[in-house]
Amino acid sequence: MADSQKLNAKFYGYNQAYLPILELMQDLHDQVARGNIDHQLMLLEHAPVITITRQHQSKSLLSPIDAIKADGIEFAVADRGGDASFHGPGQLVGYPIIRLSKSDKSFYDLEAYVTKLEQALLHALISFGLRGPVLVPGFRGIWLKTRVDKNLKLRKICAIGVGISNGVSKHGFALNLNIDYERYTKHIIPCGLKDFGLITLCEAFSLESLPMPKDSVILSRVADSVAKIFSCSLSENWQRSLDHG
Amino acid sequence: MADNIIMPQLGESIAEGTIVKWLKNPGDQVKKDENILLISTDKVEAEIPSPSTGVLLNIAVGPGQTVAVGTVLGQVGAANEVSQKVSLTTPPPSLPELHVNKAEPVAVPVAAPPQKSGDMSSFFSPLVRRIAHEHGIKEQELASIDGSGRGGRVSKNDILSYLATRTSVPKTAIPSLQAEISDSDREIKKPVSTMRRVIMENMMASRATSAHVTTFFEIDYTAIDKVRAAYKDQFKQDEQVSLTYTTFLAAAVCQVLKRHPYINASLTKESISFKKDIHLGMAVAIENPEPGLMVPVIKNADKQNLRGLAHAINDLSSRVRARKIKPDELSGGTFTITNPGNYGAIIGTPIINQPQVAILGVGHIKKQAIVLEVDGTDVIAIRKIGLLGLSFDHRLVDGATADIFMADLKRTLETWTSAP
Repeated sequence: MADSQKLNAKFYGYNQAYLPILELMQDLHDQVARGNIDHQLMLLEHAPVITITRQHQSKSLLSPIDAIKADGIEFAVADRGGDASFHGPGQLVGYPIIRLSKSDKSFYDLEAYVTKLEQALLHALISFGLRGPVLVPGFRGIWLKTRVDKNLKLRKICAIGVGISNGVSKHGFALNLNIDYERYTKHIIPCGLKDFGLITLCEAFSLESLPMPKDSVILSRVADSVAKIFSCSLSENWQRSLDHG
Repeated sequence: MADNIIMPQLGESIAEGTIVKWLKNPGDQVKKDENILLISTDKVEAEIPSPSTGVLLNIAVGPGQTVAVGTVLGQVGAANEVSQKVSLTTPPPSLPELHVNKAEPVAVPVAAPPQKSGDMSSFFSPLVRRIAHEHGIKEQELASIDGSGRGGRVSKNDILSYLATRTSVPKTAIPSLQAEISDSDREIKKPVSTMRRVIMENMMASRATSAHVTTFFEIDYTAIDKVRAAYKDQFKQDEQVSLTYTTFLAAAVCQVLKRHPYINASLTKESISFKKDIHLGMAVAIENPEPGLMVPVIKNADKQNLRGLAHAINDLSSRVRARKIKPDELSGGTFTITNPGNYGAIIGTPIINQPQVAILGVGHIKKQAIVLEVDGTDVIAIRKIGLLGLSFDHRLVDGATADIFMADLKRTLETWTSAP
């Protein structure tokens, strides 16, 4: 029987093709929904991929799909919320597969779930001593305050897109570490937001004159933070998966 | 007794959700807690389970529609049940906590048996006709609906589910997935591109937002022309870009905007934002692969001299045409210049680039014979003349404010002496 207080976090490696990971996520999702296994947190880096959603379709695409593929970027329609997104080398993707609780009469509190995810990521980033990361009311995800010619400019550092099926979450967040986002933004308007730029964690550390931590440290901090916000303890084999990742 | 499927409360501050897709069709068997539709709210797509076991009787809200929490989305009940009329748009007055509530069946009499047996597909009950009329469905379209009733007759459920799918045509088709459709020899239909859709939405949104008024001024460009004639060849040699009238106009506009805060501003219902920075939008026409329009922005244009502006204009417009512009460079403008005169237009009445409050249209510049007064004598002179038109948002900018700005711009251009 699954332990509702355990979060089984695992690093699935670098440069992972999108569709096989999606299948694995769906399989884990079904098992969590059936109560066979603990909550899961899949952490990984994808091979280059652009995804759109069923709600917004191709609204935020700037290039035809053929041109995206010709650029060596996979293309997929994801069963999550939000708008167009991208993943690839230099970006940490996290897929929390968590059973949401609901009271007898109400539906799942989707807003609370997304807010918790945001807070988990924000706490992880702030724990490195960064002062720039913020949450922006009305605009989901994690943003970074930067100054351009004395003007405050917000840039997105972490995007969120979630699917809820049978009361269990899937998909999740994408944190830019040192991804070459311009490779993707020539093809899409990320999250459908035209007026904001993007930024990476690497740039954020550089702006605040702080050293960029190693990937394993970032993974640990993110997993700890997600476990904490959902009142879970990380499973024993988490550190081992990290060592072998 | 039919159960209403209701847009659930998805969070404390979430007031509405969008239907992404129905996973079941009217008439399909559904089990309690089986997922029957997909909804979406900010960043989350979620499946909504059926409130009970039975048949999906009707769909009241089609894909792509956004409705308030508490709105009835459809009904589940027994197969032979007559469903309650469901309002397509009106949510209940209060937001119910329950996502299931029992609806009392309404005593709608079952349609009278047909007088003659046989094909009843062309017979429509008054109720069906009324619904058809309310939704602008003509006789021919009505006849095309598949009826599930006796003899193929169209029932209320049939027309409601037809309406749901009728409105479910995706708001945005995927252009690259659509082939060119030729309807006949006499026309070629093409899907609307992403750029065209953005232009369509922006233009209509601007017309719906601002109270557009355009004021026209005649400008004597002779002073500019003198400077330009003296420097343009050397400039081209040094800088590898042309010293155009647009460069001077951009420089003059930046100078003048600083003195007229109401023109370099934006407006909401609650507040006016006077912009300290001047970020100049320059409308650029695109020809390939299809005609279009983009407005790249020269950030802090007032900090640039003529050389800097010439390079910025050249760089942005060539990258727009090569489709190499970044989304970041297409936003944040505080005032826009557009140049219909490029093609010979005497003047245009441009549409304001939201959320700005004014846009300058530049008309064709050409030699004209005009009457000047020299030492008290009228003389006919040949001068370089062109019109400027300023479209402004009359909600914020009064006619006098706009004209004082334009008079200042005219004076600046007509007395220009600065060399590049």
